[in-house]
Amino acid sequence: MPDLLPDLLLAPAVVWVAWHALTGRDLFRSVVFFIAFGLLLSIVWVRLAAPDVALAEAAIGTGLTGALLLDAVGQTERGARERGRERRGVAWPTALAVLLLAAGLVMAYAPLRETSGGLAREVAAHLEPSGVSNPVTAVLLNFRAYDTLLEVAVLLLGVLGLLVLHGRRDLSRVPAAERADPVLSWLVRLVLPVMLVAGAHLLLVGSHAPGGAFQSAVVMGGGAILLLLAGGRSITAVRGRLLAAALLLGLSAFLVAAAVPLFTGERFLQLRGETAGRVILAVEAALAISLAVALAALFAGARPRAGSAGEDR
Amino acid sequence: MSRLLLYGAASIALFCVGAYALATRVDLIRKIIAVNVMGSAVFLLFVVVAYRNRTDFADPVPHALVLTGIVVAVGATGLALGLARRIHAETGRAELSEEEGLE
Amino acid sequence: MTAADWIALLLMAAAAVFFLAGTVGLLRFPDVHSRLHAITKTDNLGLGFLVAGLALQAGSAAVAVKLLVIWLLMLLGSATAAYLIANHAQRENRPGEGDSGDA
Repeated sequence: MPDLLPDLLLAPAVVWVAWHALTGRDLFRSVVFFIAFGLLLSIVWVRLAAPDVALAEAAIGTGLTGALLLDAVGQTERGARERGRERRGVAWPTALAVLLLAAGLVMAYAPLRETSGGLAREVAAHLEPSGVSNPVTAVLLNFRAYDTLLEVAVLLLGVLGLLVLHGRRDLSRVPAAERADPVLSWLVRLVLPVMLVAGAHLLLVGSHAPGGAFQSAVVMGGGAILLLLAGGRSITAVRGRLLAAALLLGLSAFLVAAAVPLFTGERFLQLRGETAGRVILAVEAALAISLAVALAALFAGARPRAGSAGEDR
Repeated sequence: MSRLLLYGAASIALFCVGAYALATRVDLIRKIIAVNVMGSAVFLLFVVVAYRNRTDFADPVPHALVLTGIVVAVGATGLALGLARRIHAETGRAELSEEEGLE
Repeated sequence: MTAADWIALLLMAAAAVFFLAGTVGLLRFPDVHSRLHAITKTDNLGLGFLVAGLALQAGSAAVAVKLLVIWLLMLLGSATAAYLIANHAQRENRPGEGDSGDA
């Protein structure tokens, strides 16, 4: 029972913080609560033996999403702190529907509580020939590499959508910060190399410990975003062709690695044998670069164009 | 009382809170936050099931799925926020309102 | 428990005290600047104690060095963040509410 004490505190806290993120009048307060929600959730992932997910949640789910939301809230609710109305007349019927939903979910969840096997044993059995020793990386980049391939494509579609909103092939019309704060610039100059090194470390360590291409990408992408916030141009200075090339690098490398086995008598995306480890690392490196660029482009692309009505930073 | 029960209940509660907020809040940004919360609730369920099925380590397949989900969620959130900010830039408001017929 | 374990426990308990004090300050102080004052000083120190305690429990020197690097990075980050928030609050001339700046 004392072993459960952190969980007894965490589980209600997570729900409580999420509730506050979704109610109340002040949007800024909501976003702050959402960031806290993400942080608590990262700790929950650690409690549930999911360190890779914890890394990704803390960096992507909390850090990057929080940055996106803060950037949006900072501009769209200038002078309108009282946003947060509810639709009239809809509260009670919705509450009823949600209660029914909850009852249904509880009934669906009850039989799930007994163990039904799962795939941990299969993964453990095939871990050695997969080329890596971190089971999550093995699943992501080998056993279920097809999912990861398509996931990268989906992220690129999101960036493409933002580019379409801008009507251009690059992000050159996204405004840089008006004032380049000297302290922030100094910090960024100091910390950016550290972030690059940390990104490389996360990438390399992902084959045998928690880490991998996504965690690495978000640290490096975060560095580019930080540079943008400090007044530099970073992702907005990258021209159309170079941007497209950088974004497509990871997906292309992945497709190449997937297609090569077709010529050696194996199936699409089949990675086996001694080369599997090296191929995975190469693909992960390309993915990390591409995803870093994609995430930075996501942040910059969400900002309105220079000169449009919503921009008053 | 076990970890599975606690976090399973939390997952259901989170999903319901998110669904309620998505349906009743008017402003776009809060809707986006609500969708994220619902997504996290689903991730929580996945990781709970992975934890339940653990042997030496937790079942890594749901973990990989959740990782994919987190990345896709941030991509979708970015695009959604870009759209919301564009709506705000064009119309001066950032909410879906019945009177305006924006739904 | 060895002596090192006891010392680590004491250090982490001290960290908890500092974090608690900082949070009380955050909740009770009336304006941005005093809240910043409470939060940054105590959180930096608290994390330092926590890192020291964890470093004693770490398996190797490499892990201890990494923990130290985390603390140093956090010092840099929180100092910069505090400066940005205070600067923004000063410019906006809003001592009553907790405004966030560009960071």
